[in-house]
Amino acid sequence: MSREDLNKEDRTTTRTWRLAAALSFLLVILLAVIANRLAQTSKAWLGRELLEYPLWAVMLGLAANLAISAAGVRSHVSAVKGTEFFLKTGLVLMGATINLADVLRIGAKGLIQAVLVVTAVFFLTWHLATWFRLDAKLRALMAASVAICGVSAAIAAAGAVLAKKEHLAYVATLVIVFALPLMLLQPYAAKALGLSAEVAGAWIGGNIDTTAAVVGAGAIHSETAMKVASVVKLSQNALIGFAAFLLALYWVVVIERRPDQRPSPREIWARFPKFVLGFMIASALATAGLLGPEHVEHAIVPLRNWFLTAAFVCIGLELSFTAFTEAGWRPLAVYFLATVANTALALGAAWALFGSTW
Amino acid sequence: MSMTGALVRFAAEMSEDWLAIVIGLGLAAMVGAGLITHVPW
Repeated sequence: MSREDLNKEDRTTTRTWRLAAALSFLLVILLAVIANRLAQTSKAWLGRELLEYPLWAVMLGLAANLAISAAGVRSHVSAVKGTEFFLKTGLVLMGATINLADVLRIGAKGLIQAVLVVTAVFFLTWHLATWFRLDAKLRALMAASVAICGVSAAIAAAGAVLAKKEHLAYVATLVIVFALPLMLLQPYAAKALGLSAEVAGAWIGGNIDTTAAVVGAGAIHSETAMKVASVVKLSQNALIGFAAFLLALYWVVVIERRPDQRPSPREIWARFPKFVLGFMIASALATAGLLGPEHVEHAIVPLRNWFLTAAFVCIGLELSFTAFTEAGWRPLAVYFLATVANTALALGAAWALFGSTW
Repeated sequence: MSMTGALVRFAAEMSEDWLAIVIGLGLAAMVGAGLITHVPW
């Protein structure tokens, strides 16, 4: 094939990718609008929402996912990394709705909670996985994802221990499969337990692995719970670079016994989720009064909600069970037990740290 | 390459983190400047 033919093929592939990306984007926006309409219409008819907008959005995303899979065009839709983009933009906008003093107060407690819970859950999952005789690399991925922040932590851990692609795909699916029921159940469990919005938010943020489901569960509970859950989760996310660095160090020194190949501390910054900086800047701008409180309420909050709704649609749209069916029951059992332990530990830590007024 | 094409390419090559910062803070700045005052929800 000549160079000209190759260039032509490249251009056609790029054009097809762009068209698929544009159509996927439009589909997400359309589903987000329908989710919003369904939530608002049920509220107008029943006097309360039949289902909160995050749930409508995830359900519509799942329904579209099934329809697209049945039509055989799923690979084109997954070309767009929608969840991460919409979620992170929504979170940057959320920064503008929270006073910087609150971000720092909740973030400081969130960091203490993260260090305590993440450490305990990481080692517990590691030992459970050893007990269930899982592969060492899969063990590292599962321990990182259940303890820290789901898919992003699994990606960081996969880089640290050079895990197989199939392991990463499997753990990424596990994270979402466990996050969805928790997103639905935990806000109602928090209400049934009579937890304050702040403790409920800290519990949700400290327990659910994937950030999108944390924000969704918080939104289902209340506005305050959503803000607290998000800040607590961002505190955990901020630790991801340290966790990846320590894991890589442990891996080469203890497991592989190659101390000459120690990872660089630059890994910490490389893995740091930069959008957290956008969240802090937005919060600082709003706290300085540069955005205008009425504008925040009438423009920033709805914009934030639209981006988050699109992210919730993408959770349903991007879920794939292909990797899930190939790994057997043992990793599933480990993940389940670790999630139960994480739920209990996060509740204790949230109650101890956020239940008092200090 | 057109301006729009260049922007699309730039956005596609940016990580989601930086794209989220640019769009999120860009929208916040537009709200702060009074260019966006009301968004239906």
